[in-house]
Amino acid sequence: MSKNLDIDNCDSIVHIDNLWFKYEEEYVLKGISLQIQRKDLIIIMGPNGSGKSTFLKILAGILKPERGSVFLCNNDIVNLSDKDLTKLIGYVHQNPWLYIFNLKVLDEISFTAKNLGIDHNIVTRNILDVATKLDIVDLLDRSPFSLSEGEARRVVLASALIHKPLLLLLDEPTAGLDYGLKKRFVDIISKLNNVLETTIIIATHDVDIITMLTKAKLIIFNNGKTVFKGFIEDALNNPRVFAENSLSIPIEVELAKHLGVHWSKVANLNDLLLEGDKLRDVLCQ
Amino acid sequence: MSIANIYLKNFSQVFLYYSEKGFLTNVHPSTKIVLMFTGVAIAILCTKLVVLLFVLLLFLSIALTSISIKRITSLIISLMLFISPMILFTYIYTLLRLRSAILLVDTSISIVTAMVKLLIMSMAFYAFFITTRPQSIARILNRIGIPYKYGYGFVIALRFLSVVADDLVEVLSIQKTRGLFLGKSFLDKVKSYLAIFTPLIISSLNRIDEVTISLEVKGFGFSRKRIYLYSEPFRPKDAVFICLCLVGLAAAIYFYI
Repeated sequence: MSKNLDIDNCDSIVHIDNLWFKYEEEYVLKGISLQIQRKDLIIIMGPNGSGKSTFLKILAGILKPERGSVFLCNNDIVNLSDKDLTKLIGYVHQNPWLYIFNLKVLDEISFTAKNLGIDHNIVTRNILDVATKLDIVDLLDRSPFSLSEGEARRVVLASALIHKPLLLLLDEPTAGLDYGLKKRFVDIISKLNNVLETTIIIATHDVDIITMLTKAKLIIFNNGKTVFKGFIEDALNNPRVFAENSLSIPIEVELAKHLGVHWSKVANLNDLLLEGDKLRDVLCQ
Repeated sequence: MSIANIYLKNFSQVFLYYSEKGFLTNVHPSTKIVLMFTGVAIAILCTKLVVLLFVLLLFLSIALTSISIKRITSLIISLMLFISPMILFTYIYTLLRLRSAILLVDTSISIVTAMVKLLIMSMAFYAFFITTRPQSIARILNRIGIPYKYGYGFVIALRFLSVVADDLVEVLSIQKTRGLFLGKSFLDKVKSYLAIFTPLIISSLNRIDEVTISLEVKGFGFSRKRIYLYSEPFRPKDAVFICLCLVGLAAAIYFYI
C-alpha cells in the first residue's frame, strides 16, 4: 500500500465532487457530488440506465472519471495503484458467474487475499470468519460450478470480504433471488455493517430490500443526477419520490396507505402474514 | 481505459448492426455483398499503392454515407493496434538482419501497401455488416442456397462475438478488482489466464444454452421452408451500383492477372 495512504484516520471514506462520465456521446453521470462516511450503509436506486452501475465501477477504479474528482480516504482515485484499490475495495458484480474459475469454493474465496500476499494464517482465519457469517462453511470444499445462484452470490460476496476491505460495493446483489434469500442477504449485510463496520454501497432497483433496511441511507439517481439524498425512512414517508423516478412503491407502503396506518406497522409484511395475530392487530387498528 | 479494453470495446462493435439512415443502409443487401467482394478482390489483386489508395478513399466515401466518422476511426485504431506489433517486428528484422537503408524504404512501401490492402478489406466487410440487418444477411444467404438454419447460425455467431467481447471486458475488470494482475510468478501468470477464460467460457456456454432454448421453443428449424416478413426491394440504383462494382472488378482482373 502507498506510504501516504492513511486509512485509519479518515472518516470521510468517499468524497465525490462534480463527477461526470460518458460512454459514447451522452453523459451517464452528470455532476454527481457526494460524501460517504465511514460505516455508512447506502442504497443507490434508480431506473435502468440511470448510472448506478457506472457509479460503482468508478468507485471500484474500473472506469476513470471524465470530469470531477473522486477521493477515497482523501486520496484521488486516479492516483491510487491497482494494489491500493484492491486492498481498499471489495466489488461484487451483478453476475457472480463472471468471477468463478477455481475448482474449490475455498480457493475462490481466498483468491484476492492471496493476490494481496496476505499471510496464510490470517487468510485461513478470515475464510472461516467470513464463511461462518455468510453461512457457507458447508460449501468450502465443493466445486463452485455446482452452486445455486444464491450460493454463488454468497461465495462471491465472501471473496470480496476476505481481505476486510474498507468499502464494499454491491451491484444488483439481489437480482434473481427469492424473498427468503433477499431477507437473508439483508441480514448478512446489516451484520457486516454493524459488526465489521464495513462501509457498504448497494446499487439496486429492488424495492423489496428497502423496507428491510429502513435505517440505511438512500440515494436516488435519475438521468445521471442525484434526485434524492436522505434516509430510507424519509423516502418511505414521501413515496412520491419512488413514483417520480420510475421506481415501484414498496408494497408495504401501498398496503399501509390503504389500511390508513403508518408504513412501519406493516414493514415486515411477510413476518406479519406468518404470525396471524400480529396482522390481525394491525388490521384492527 | 487500457489498450486491451479499447481494442475489445471497438472489436465488440465491428459486427453489430447499426441502424443509421444513409445511402449504404438503403441499398439492397446483394449490392452490398457485391461491393464487399469487389473490395476484397481488388485489395488482393492490385499491387499499385496509388490505385489502392484511390480505392480506399472510394470505400471510405461510400462508408461515410451511412457510418459515422467516429466509428470508422475506432475501426482504424483497432486495426492499427492489431498490426502494429507485426510492423514493428518487420522493421526490427529489416534493420538488424539486412542492415540496408534502401531495403528499409522498400519495406516501408510494402508495409504501407499491405496496410492499405487490409484497410480496404476491413472497410468492405465492416460496411456490409454494420449497415445490413442480421435478418437480411440470413435471408440473402438462404437465397444463394445456404439452408436458413446455417444462415441464422452464422448471423447469431457474428452477434455472439460482440457479446463475448463485452463479457471479456467485464471479466477483465472484475478480476482486476480482485488483484489478478498483482501476481508476478509464472504460475500466477498462467493462473491469471484461467481466471479470465474460465468465467468467459462458462458465461458463453450459459448464453448459448439460453439462445438454443429460445430458438427451440419458437419452433426454429421445424420446417424446411421459410417465409420472410420483410425484404428490401431491388431498385434501379442497385443495378447501377452492381454494374460499377463489376466494372471495377473486371479492370482489376484485366490489369493485374
